[in-house]
Amino acid sequence: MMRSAKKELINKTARALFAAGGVSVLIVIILILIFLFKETIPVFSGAEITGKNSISVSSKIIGASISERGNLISYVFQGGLSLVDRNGANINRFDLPEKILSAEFKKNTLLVADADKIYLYDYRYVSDGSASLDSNAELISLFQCPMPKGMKTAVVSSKDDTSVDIIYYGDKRIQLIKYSLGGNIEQVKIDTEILSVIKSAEVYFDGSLIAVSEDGRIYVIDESGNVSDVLKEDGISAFGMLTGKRGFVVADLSGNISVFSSSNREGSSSFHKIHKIESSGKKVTSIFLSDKDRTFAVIYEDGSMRLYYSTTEKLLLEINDINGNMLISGNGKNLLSYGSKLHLYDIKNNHPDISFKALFGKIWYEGYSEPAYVWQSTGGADDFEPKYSLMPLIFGTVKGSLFALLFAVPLALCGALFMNQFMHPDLQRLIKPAVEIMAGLPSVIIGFLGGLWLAPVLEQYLPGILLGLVITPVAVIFAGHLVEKFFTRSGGEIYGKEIFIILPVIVLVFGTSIMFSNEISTVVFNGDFKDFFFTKTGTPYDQRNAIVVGFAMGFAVIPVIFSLAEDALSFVPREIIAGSLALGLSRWQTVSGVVLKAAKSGIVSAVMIGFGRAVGETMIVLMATGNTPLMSLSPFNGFRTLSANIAVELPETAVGSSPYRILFLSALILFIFTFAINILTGFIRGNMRKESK
Amino acid sequence: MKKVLLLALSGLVLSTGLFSQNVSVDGAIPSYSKKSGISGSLNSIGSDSLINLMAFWSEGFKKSYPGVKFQIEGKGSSTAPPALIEGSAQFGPMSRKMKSSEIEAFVKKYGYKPTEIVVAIDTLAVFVSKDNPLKSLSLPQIDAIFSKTRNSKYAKEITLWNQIGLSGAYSNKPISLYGRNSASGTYGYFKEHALYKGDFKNTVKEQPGSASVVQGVEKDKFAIGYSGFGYKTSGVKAIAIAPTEGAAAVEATYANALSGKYPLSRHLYIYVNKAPGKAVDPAVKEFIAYILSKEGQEIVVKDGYFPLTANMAKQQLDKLK
Repeated sequence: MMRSAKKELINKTARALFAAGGVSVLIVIILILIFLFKETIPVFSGAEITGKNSISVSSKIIGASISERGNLISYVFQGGLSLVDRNGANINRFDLPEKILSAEFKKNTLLVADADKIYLYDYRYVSDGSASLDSNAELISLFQCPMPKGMKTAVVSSKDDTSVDIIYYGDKRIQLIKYSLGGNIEQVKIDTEILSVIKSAEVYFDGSLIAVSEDGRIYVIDESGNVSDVLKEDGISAFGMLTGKRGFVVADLSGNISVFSSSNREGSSSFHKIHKIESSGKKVTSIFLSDKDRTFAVIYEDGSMRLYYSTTEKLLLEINDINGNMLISGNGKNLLSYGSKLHLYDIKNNHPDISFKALFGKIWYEGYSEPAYVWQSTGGADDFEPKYSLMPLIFGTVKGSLFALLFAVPLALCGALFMNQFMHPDLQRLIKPAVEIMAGLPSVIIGFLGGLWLAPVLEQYLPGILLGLVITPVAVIFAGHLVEKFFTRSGGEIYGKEIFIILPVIVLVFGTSIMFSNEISTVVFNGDFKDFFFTKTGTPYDQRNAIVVGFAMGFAVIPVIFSLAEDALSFVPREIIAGSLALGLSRWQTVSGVVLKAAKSGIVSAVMIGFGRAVGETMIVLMATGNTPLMSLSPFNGFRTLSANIAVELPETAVGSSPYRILFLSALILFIFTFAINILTGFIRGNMRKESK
Repeated sequence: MKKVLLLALSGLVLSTGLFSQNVSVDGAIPSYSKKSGISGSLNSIGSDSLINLMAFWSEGFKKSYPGVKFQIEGKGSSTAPPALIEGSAQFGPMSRKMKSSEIEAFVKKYGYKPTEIVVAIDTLAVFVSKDNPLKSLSLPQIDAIFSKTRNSKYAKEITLWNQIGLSGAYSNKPISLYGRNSASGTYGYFKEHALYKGDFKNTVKEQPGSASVVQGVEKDKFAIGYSGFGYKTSGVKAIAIAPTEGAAAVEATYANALSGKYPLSRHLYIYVNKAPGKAVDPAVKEFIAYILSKEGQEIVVKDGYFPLTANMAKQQLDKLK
């Protein structure tokens, strides 16, 4: 009596423990999913205004600037410059010339012009070292000089410690002058005439000048002063150079906004319209650009403003009642509008660079000759245009997995079938654990060997190995036939141990074909397979290619498929097999007609789970391929997978940044991928079971 | 797993031969003098290019101070700023300068900028297999080989060896490209200076470490790859580089790196967290002092990098005062 109660208790506890285990696994999976979603979702949110301060100013504002972190504002009025904090409290005041016509701030410089002179200052925000924010500003006069004859506007194009470049333009003439600081020596770099009235001009990344005219022409003036008329728009109302100086924004008279960039084709640059944002029906008066990224503010004639991001063409934010001009702070978190009043907006704009199209669509990037799927998430400098297309990575993941399966499925399934149905039990006891040990090999070792040992070997003996892959199975079938004919008929001692005859055949045939690799090359491929392949297809043979990964990753996937398929075969009731044999079917007929049919669902799920394993595999791909984000079907070049990409890039990304969230998104995609495979496996299995009943 | 990988890679590096140039440390750099009462545990997270140097320095440092414990990780320069910000490391070795966005993130947490110490001079080399007859390339040619945007305005994309003048076994053979992964400072530096801020071709094989770039080039007859000069082995050779098309090619020597004639030389940095007006932890300060001493700079030479001049070393040391 006591004993059965105890048993009951044990049973109950065990059941509860199992249930708790199962439920907690489920909970953990759901939590992971929630975590991934939580890290990913902010990517798709737009920008929003989180605060607004208005500051009244008594005099008319000619020019303004905002400190990098948005806590200090400077504005120029007739005869002076005021520095105020975000609530309008005065911090500092500097004297400037009277009768100013324009005042323009650019990175650490202030250029002021009156009717006939320009004044250049070094103007920068400084912190006293104790606080995290800038707390004051310094104004140092660098030099003043008369405005060159016939010129109306002066713009600083670049400045370093020793020199400053200034662009001047008048109606139809443009100049670029370099001044040495200290000595004030000037050197005219460009001085040239243009046919139409210049609206605005900026320096391009290669040192040439881009000038746009009111009648819609875009001119490029190279460093020797040659003018080329590269594009014609329907009139131009506003113009601005994007950060990095590799692309520029132009608004036409009907309000369409276009982004242009050049690509280098056969030695000469050709300009393309890489982005187009359709007109909202209003005329654009000016464009202001961010120094931080490719965000720009478009001001319309009715006083409204729209914030766009160039790469994604995404409309981030719209404000209706700004008055006048709009500046974007250095960290991109503040907007300052100035005119008769100052308005300071705090904005949240964390991921302007990501949109559905940026991740999954073709985008025309700056400097490219056509739209493309590109993954290149970082550069050496801040003004780099990040390229976040996940398509090459998804493609690589699928390509790598398929090549692994191509290698693993025939070997694993045939191996499992042979071992389970034909092999001697003594050998079975040896082989099964051996394959399981294979599963225990760390994938980093497989990857290391794949990249540094297998890749060069494969390159050297490729024709032989390919031939071996074709003729070895044929030789095996032939040898099997001979074994059947000469050994089993007589006594049957060989039963289950055919492998000892077949194995030498495999080694011999495969070995011979590899030995004659060079001869095959010479005869069939005209000397060298790699050259042959390159001249026939135009794609070069790459040492770290999909075949290498197929072998290496296949090696990791084989034990998974083998074990699961073998289990499925073991579950086929012996009575069915015995019945089939008793009815006079041969062993092969029994295996192909009865056993395989009965184990079909298990075998399919073994393959699917093997696929799932290959999709998530990281280390092998990381080490054995070149992680090249290509989208090419060629078996002889590499790829980059989602998982390897996460491993390579996650350590470097700042928490909460766009690349960080995209890596989480790719983790989510991987998760959904494997999840979908598992569901599909279950579904197929269920269907097949129903069928076989 | 990453650790195993690093271990395997650094094993490979240690077994490689050091380069043969006779560079000696500036005699004006003083020897290190031992202080008393230095102990504690020091962490360093950052550049893979600097991992061997850090390991050698820490060994040398521990001879004077057996009580000091070191933990050194090297996965790429971009891992240094997050580690410094989170406080998980006192040293952030980097093979490039911090970007303004990284400095900004640091300032946001601490209210001041991180302190940058130059510890060695490195030259980035472009490697080919040792049997390759190629002697030199111009920077625009390198751009045309590695980049798809060709910001240098080189006329044509270069994909075949005969396009840069090789014949015989090399004619009509495609160039196989090797490079570093994007977390590394080497990647960023090469992109900015050799690619003129352009984009890498998709076919550049991104290797997780500088040593595996050299390994890849060694095993691939038709390969070209870039990594730190200190990783050179006997199986590869570094080619001379001309700064512009038509200019004379410059070898990667100490004199050329110091004078700035070699176009791909750079400083190696260690970033530390030092509040203005306050002294840093004595162990941190002594370690930097050791690196900038005669002994520390001799290790730099031993590991295949170029040492600082006495003047530079003093300037760096003053930053911690």
